[in-house]
Amino acid sequence: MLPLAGIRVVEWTTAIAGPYGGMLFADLGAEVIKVEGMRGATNRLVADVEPVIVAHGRNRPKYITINLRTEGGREVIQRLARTADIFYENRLPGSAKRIHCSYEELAAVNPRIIVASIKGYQKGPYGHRPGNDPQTETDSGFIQPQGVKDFAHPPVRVGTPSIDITGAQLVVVGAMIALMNREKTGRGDHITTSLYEDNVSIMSHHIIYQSLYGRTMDRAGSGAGAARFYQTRPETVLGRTLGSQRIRRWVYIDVSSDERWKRFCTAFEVTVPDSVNLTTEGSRAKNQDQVEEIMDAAIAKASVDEFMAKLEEAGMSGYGAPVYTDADVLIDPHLLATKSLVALPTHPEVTRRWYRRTSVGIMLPFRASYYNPNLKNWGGKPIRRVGEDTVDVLRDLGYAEAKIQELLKDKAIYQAKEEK
Amino acid sequence: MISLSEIRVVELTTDVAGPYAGLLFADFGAEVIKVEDPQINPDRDLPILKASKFVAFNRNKKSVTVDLNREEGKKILFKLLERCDIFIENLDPGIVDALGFSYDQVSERNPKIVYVSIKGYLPGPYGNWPAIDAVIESLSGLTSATGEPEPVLPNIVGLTQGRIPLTGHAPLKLAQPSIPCSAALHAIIGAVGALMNRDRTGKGDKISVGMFESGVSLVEQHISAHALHGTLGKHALNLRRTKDGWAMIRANRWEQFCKSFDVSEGIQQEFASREAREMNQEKLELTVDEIIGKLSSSEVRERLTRHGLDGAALGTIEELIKNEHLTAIGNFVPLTLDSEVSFLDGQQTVMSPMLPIRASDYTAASTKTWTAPPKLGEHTADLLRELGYSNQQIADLQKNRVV
Repeated sequence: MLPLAGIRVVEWTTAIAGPYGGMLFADLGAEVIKVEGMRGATNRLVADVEPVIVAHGRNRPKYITINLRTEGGREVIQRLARTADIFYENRLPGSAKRIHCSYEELAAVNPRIIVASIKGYQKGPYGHRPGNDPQTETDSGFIQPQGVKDFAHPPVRVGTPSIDITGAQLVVVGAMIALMNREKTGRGDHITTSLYEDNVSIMSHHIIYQSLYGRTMDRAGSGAGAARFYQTRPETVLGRTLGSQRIRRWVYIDVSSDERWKRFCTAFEVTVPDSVNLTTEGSRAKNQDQVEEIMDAAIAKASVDEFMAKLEEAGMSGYGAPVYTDADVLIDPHLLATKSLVALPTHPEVTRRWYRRTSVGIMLPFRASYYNPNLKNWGGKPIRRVGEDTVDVLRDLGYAEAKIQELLKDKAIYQAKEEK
Repeated sequence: MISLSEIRVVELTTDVAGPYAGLLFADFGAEVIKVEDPQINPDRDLPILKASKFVAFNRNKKSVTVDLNREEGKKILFKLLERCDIFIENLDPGIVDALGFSYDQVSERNPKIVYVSIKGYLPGPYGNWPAIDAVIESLSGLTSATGEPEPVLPNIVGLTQGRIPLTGHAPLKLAQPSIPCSAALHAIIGAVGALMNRDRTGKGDKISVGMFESGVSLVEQHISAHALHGTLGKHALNLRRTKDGWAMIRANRWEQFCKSFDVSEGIQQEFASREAREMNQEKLELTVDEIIGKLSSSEVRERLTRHGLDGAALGTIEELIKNEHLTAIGNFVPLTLDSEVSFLDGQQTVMSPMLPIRASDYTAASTKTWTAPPKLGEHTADLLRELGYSNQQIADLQKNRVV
């Protein structure tokens, strides 16, 4: 049995943090009803982010569309939110209050409700500010130590909204614990996680380092010496429009211990010149330039496949790997064998017409023995269209047919057309 | 208040992923017991980081030392596991099994236990690989997504194929433990799910988490985009130089940008239309660089805040510790470290950031006693007494270096 079976989540979210948390609730078995604005969620409008809707929109049984600028529309979301175990939102500060769905207002009617919020900042001097992943990772200094070692280079942002995602994970943890506590106390709670403070938490050890030694840690760079990125022999890669290109691909390798260094030298047929001693970890740290020269020359002779084969022969699998592009991830043998990738059918109304009709979803990265956190509603159903379930949900809420027609006519709600 | 105060956790962990999972439980009020080796504990004294990682991820925990290579030591851990709800381990693949603490062996003695195993990779072809951060980042696609932006090139789709070689610098390691922390969060989601199930079924569970798979989940939207339309994403926009630092500024809302940064009439007109901005992208970027370069970071920050523009000046860690917002909300808890923990003379006080979560009546700093990361084996004797060992037996175990 899935842990959140029988739990209803009403999700009013946008961007990336919101939908990722909704996906977690849904994958864990909750019935997630996603509320979108009249023209679909922001996600569906902004160019290039339909992949988010597809990637994180899975397993939600219902999508409804409400015009929150109308009185009738606001009444619908209030009635819906009151039926929820968890009302989940990541809108701008004050938005929930504007539609009368703040924790205080909902708990007055339903004391068992749990409100789960993700904000840019916790309540306090910056509490009113909007905040997003790129802004908070810069503002907090999270990315200060990331980039090319030479400080003339700019700090580099993380290539994915990692803060959005960890923030969403934590709010789900908080909501689950609140559900457990509710069994004992009968009362709900308001859980808030925040992106800015999330940066601060994950960069903890940099803060402790600063507190202890009064200085900032060096940039992580690309590694150095025997633990570093190197380039392989140029390989022919098929280009999409410009024909094939010769590209040297990057690999990472870590052979810093004495034992691994010895094995590396044997596997890659390296002869260290007599003039320099590189037998111990200490001596290699002192002669880093020579180590890099030797390793660069040795690895540049191998293709990526040969590199991986040599590591395996030397019993060092896992101590090195190629830098994968998104295309490589999709065909990785381990991900395929662990069934971590699943086909997600899409719908022509959800993504652009020239996109492929099937996307790839990533299963949650954990497995349990007695419940499967992934396989609830897959089964080949495409992602829901904007407003596909509006009328259904209103009927469940007890709206009379005439009232529903009136709301439709007033454009307070929107129902997707039935498919032919 | 959300709390796990009736839960007892035992952890056998190293580096970040395992300790961060334990920290989550500890901060939520669970009793977390860290089992350590009496002699070898590289986590406490890493060559460069020294104590900082250990201090960051091990507050609010108890430390018990047990030599697990000895029979008496194994017996102690089994007794402990019989009396706990959750066991977390993230040692290299095979080690815990070899010590005799596989899920089968542990659940036989305590069927209600939730056994959490965080590894580099889920069981499968890479299941026996060690967890090396940069290797996991490389394989998950996160490394290729992270880097300085590619030079501005004619917009030909095929050229993005060679995304990494075009950037002109080697791939970068992540500076922050985003993947291990995300894996730890998945671990606690799985474990709390198992606790909820246990309330209904009376049975525990085994949760396995892969750091590689967690990394792939972090880049899910890029993977989805590639699956949908076949192109590879670009690196995120560069930070721009200010007079004394860096700032992340987009000029996509041009009029508002001009107003906020007092851009001259001439420049404003030059890029007034969207077409003009798109046709002269490179020149526009340079112009914005020039405008920002004349200001200091604090001026940039002030203007962004005043006009509510999306963007930020790069913060530094010195500033962060003194930040007005974080200070006002009590986000840092002062922890006083014993010199044995900090490896520095005298008592050191460090500012330890709280988890970024609050509940409606949760004022963590005041309602909860915070404890500094424990000294090695600080709670061994207390715990052994609780497990029923007599003072004489404890003294013998200590003499034989089992604890």
